Amino acid sequence: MQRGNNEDLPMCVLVVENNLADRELLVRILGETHRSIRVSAVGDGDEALALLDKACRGEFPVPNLILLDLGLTKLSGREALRAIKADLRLKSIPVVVLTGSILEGDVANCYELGAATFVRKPAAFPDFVKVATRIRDYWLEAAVLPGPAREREETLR
Amino acid sequence: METAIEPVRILLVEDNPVDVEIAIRALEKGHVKNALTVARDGQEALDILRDGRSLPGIILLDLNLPKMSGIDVLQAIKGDPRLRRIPVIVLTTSSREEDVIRTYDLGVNTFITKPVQFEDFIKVVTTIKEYWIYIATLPVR
Repeated sequence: MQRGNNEDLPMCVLVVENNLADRELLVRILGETHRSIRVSAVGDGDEALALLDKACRGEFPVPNLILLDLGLTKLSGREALRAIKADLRLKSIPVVVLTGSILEGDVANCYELGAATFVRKPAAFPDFVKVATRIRDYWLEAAVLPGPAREREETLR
Repeated sequence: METAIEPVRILLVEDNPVDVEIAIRALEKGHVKNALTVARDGQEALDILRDGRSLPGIILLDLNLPKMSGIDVLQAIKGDPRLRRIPVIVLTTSSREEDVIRTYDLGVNTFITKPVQFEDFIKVVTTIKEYWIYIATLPVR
């Protein structure tokens, strides 16, 4: 079996972010890698779960990595994280919480729920670019992610 | 963004003395003086984590360890309510898909394959350090 970082196979990243400007920036920066990558983005927790449900049914690639904002409207990031980690088909996907809205206890709570990392979204634009770039380099260059989308789909079927 | 960074306590679980040396060099380099503890096998790692001392901010864990495997250590950490929120980064020569899926299922925070080349290994450890110290917000510092 190929390792997760096999460079010939496309990686799929899901961005869940309700701020349009932040979402577009994340999609652009994540896409700036030499790897073959597909970045999908949704604006709310319920849309994310709907897309992941489609992925489990083989109608969409299963993401290898999820970036999740907490301050969503219809379904909060905490609830989305809880749902992903409670689903045996999805729980192995690393979820990076990237958020500007932080409540007391959020950091510990997100790690407890199974977040791979908690990252504070900086308010200043250049700092946000730097953070997004570091996230991309760490997860798409250094880390081995659980299976390229194609293989995950096969094992899930 | 990279100013006023508090040092992080790091627990390195690694039995290969050469890899320990390389990791120490990469982790202790730079202006942030991180406190590093090394455990040479899985049992020693759990003893350190459970002896009541302050908890580490992050744990770097090899999978191929004497006495108790890295997978068993990971399972013990993620099953312990006092320890489970500590980020665990698996750093191993393995790149087997079974190990990758298994460790992520058990709640590993990142799986990273140890590069064979010395310079690449230093680079990876530096990347890990910078991500967890400058970018991540840790549950314990």
